[in-house]
Parts: sequence; structure tokens; C-alpha cells
Amino acid sequence: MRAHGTQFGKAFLDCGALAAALKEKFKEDILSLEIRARGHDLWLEISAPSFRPFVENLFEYDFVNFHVISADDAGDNAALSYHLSIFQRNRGRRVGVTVTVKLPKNNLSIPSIFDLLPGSEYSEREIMEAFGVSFTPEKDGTGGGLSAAYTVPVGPIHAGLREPVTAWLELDGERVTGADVRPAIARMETETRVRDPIQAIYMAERICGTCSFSHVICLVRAIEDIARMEVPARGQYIRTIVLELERIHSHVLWSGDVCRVIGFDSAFHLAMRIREQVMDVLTGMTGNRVNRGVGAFGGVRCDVTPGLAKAVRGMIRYYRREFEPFREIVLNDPIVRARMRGVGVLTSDEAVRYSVTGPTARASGLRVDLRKSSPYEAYADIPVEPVVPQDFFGKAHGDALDRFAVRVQEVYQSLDIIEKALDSLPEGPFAAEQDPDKVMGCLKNADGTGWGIIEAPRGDNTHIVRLKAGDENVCRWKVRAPTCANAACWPLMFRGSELADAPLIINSIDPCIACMNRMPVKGNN
Amino acid sequence: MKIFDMLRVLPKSLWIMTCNSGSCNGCDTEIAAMFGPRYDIGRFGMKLVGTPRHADVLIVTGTVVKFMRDRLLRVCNQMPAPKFVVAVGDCGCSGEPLDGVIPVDVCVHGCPPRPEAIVDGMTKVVLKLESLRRSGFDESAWDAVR
Repeated sequence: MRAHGTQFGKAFLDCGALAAALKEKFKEDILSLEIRARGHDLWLEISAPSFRPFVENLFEYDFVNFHVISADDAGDNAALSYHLSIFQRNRGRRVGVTVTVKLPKNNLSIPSIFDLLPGSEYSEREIMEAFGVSFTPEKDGTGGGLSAAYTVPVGPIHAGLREPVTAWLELDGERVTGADVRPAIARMETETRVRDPIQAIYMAERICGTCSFSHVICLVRAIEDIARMEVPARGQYIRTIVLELERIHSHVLWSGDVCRVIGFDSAFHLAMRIREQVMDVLTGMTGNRVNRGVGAFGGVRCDVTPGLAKAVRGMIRYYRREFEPFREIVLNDPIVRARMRGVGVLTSDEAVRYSVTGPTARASGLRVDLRKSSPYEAYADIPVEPVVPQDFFGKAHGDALDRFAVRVQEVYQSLDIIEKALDSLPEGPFAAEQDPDKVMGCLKNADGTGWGIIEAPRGDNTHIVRLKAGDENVCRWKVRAPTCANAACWPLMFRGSELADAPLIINSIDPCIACMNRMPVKGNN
Repeated sequence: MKIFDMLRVLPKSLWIMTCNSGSCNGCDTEIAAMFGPRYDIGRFGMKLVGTPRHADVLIVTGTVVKFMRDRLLRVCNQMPAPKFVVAVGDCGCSGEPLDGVIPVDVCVHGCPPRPEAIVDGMTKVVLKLESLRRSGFDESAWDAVR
């Protein structure tokens, strides 16, 4: 395993300092460099031979998190963009680094970074399939193949799974000795060549039914990034409120679902009852339960009226009263503890290495949270501390129980955030421009690539969007959902577990297969 | 629905299996809410089962992606007759119709449909079963009926 340096020591890591350090080291190999302050991002292009040393060099600063590879057509070349983040472990800062490499079309070959960042596996495979880029040296699938006599498939249709995933488990008696997981089953396309950005919002919403608003905000932020659009303060606060309501509904739904998986049906019903309150508030605010349709460029499409604010406060009171018993019942139950403790362990070193994100990473003891490390929307005014199990259990085990506890604790955190956002809700317009024609006029002239990255309920959600000036449609749109990063470490979690743990381990990262298999499909391929 | 029909729906108990064949999870969360206490499909004696061999009704969400097509057929063939298929959500009803893969009895439109709508769809399944029973249900003729 590669060690992570701490070159910046106690100093804050920021874009400018990092850019200067990289420029000094790589001089003319860096073909272009741009700092985007709004997203805390660094965009640079590097010559192909020094790509691999460049990525190796990034490990000197602090731990590197891999998001996604996006590819684009650039005349005689194919441009691969590696979207990475450097997290500063001790100071809770993050800098996004996008490294673009141009490869000639007659020789599409690039060194693989799988050995440095194993989380890049699915992305590399996808680019290989879609663009014909070869990654050297080539590798075979996750876990390096199976050898034992008994291999049991779990899924794609299984009582404990809500979505199609297949796990082939290699067994020695009841013990799992090896695992190969294939999540890429329900592969759907997000082909947007014929759609303009406003239509794309409604497609983004339907990427995932549980975290639909976070996908919308991610897309919207990526496009606002290109068009340099400003969002009024009230719009930012309303976005934050809806995002946090969505986080509550997602976490409560997952807690219920995982209880059902371990056979604790009454807790599932309890969770579903509690969840309906937040669905009511969301329905009141936006008119819909699931696909809310309130995201818009430069703001939102709904206001928080005093009546709604009162309803939200009522919901917060209800949760403080009713959610506590649920937490006590589940977390203090000796059977639940025995069932979930020590199942699906992921240590913090492995979590760093596999670029794990969100509550899964926090359950392994990493203090990573984009709401703190690169605050967006109203999080710049509302401080958020990452919830990690060592704060309330004393030690991070990185198992299913820790993941459960972290998510349950985050519900309380979200309640606090919503309350603070309601208290300091600024006056003014909730959208910069409400006329869609005027918004489209502004977006038509936008040109460039934008990166939207936010903390969705399951981890960091990444959208990369390319717009061309004069063309009203979206040119290219790459979605990387958090499950894509978290799913790569399933084989690690299966080590030493038993066959009966399989549904619990698969569910413990809150998988969303619908989110993760999104790629542009062209023609008949 | 007339009150007379409603009363007839109540004593029936269908066992339900859900199958996600490439949906976005939106319909699945609404189906989960349908089993929850507020919409409570348990009132009709209906419950969720984990295997097609125990199920009377198969709820399919989402479009049928290429990979899931054969698996969906296998699941449907494992169910004992009389069996019903409910397509939940616009994807399976009208987007890329599920009807071309397996025969569908009830379509519940919406993106996603509200839990009440899904409950309504389930009561329609019961009524369909009832009308079959009244017309003299013959198991051997089941395939011809469908």
C-alpha cells in the first residue's frame, strides 16, 4: 500500500498553494492550469508521459480520493479527464484536481492507476468499453478470479436485495473465502445529445429515486460553474433545506430496510412510519413525494413560506420525540448488536485506498464530509462536523453496526442543520431568474466543462457536464454516483464473513445500483 | 370502486414479490412505503415474500434492461398459477413496455405512482381474480386465459 505524505503539515491546503507546488515540480509538463474558487477546484492539463508520475506525486500532499474518469472527443485526440480530490486529513480541507490527458486516436493507451487507486477499477473498465482506451498493464476482474469448488451466486434477484446485484461467493463450508461482485447489471443510459440543460434537470431527477434532488443540484451546480451563474442567498438556503430533508428520508428508509434484511420487521415498520412525516413535509414544499422537480438554474422553483416553515419545525419536533425510541430500540438491542458487529469490516486504511465516500467512509473512522471540506450552498454559513463512530463508540470498527450508527446520528445532524437554516433564512428572491427563456439564453453562450460535486446521502456525488457555445444541448454528461466508489470495496468486506451475512454486507453501504450504472450509449453499442 | 366490490376485496390475501428490473428506485421506495404502516397493504392480507414460488403477484418496476430480461422470465415462470403481473411506474407501463416481455395484468402509471395508486392497482388484481373465479376458473386453461 502506498503511504500518504503530509507535505503541507499544519498549513491549510488550498488551491493556490497546491498549484504553485505542482508548477514548481512539473514545470512545462503542465500544459494549462486553471483555479476555480467556487468549487475549490484545480483544473490542469498534463502531457501524456508525465501523467503517471504526476498522480504518484499527488500522494505526497495528503490522501487522494478518486472520483471518476470522463472522456471526450478533442479532434485528433481523445481527452481523458481524471477527477480526483486531495483531502487534508487533519484540517478537514479538500481540493479537487482534474487532470486532463490528451491521447492520440491511433494510440489510445495510458498507464493504469489501479495499483495506486483501486477505486478506479469500474471507471477504467467503462472507459475501456466505451472509448477503446487500453489501460496498461491490463488486469482481470475484482478479486483476481475464483478458484474454490463451491461458488454460490447471491442475486440478481434475492429476497434481501432491493436491486439487481450479483455476488459470486467462494465458500469453504459457511465461510466466504473469496468474492466477486458484479453490480453493473441494470445499465441505463444518460444520453443527452438531444436535450437542453433544462430538460436534463428532469432526467437527472430520474437517475435515482431516493436521492433525486442531490443529483439535480449536482447537475445544476456543474452547469452554473460553466455559465458563472450566481445563486441568491435564499435560493441556497432552500436548496440546503431540501437536501437535508432528503438525507433524512434516505437514511431513515435505509435504516428500516437494513432492519428488514436482518429480520427485524417491526423496526422496519417503525422506520417507515417515522419516514412518512418527512415525506409529508417534502410534499407540502414541492408537491411531490419522490421526484420533486424544484431544481432550477440560479436558484430553486419553490419558496419556503411561513406556513411551510412552521410545518418543517413541527416535523423536527416530531423527529426529536419519535426517532429517539427507534434508535434506542435498534442500537441497544443485544441481538442487533450481535448480528451487525464485526460484519463487513472495512478498516480506515482500506477506505482511504479504495476512495470510499460518505457514511461508509465515516464509519471507517475517516473525517471526510464535503459539507465541511468544500462547503457549497448554505453550508458555508452552517458548520457541519463529520459524524464518526469514534466520537460515540470510542473506536471505529468500520462494520455494519458503525455504518448504521453513523447514518442514524446524521439524521440528528440534519435536523440541526434544517433548524439553523430556517432560523437564518435570508430575505430576497429564491431564484436569480425565473423565466426559462432568459436562462436558456444565458446557457446557450456558455462554453466549457463543469464539475458539480456535493455530499449526497450516500457519499459524494459527481456530475461532469460539457457545454459548447452556440449549441443549446448538453454535449456530454458524466454521472458518478457514490455507490460506484463504495461498491469497489465489497470484496474486501466479504473476507471472513459467512454466507448468511451476504445481504447485510451488500446492503450495509446503502447501495444504489440505479445511480451507479449511468453511461452514454451511442448507436447500437 | 363500489362499496360492494370493496367488501369483496377485503378477505383476499395475495402474496407479493417485487422485482426491480432496472428502475431508478423511486417506485421501490413507494412500494416500501405501501408495506409500511400508513398505507398498510397488510389490511388486505397482502404481504411481501422473498421467493417467486410463494408469490401470487409479481410487481415489476422499471424498464426491462437487456441483462434482466431472461431473469425476469425465469422468475415469472417459477410462480404458481394463478399468477398476476403488475407493472408499477411509467417506465414499465409506457416507456419501454414490460408487456412485450411478460404478460401484464395491471399497469400503475406515475413517476413514481403514489402508494395509494399502487394499493388501488393491487385491489384491481383482486377483482380480476374474482371475475376469473366467477367465470369458472380452470387451472388447465390458465395459459389460454392469459
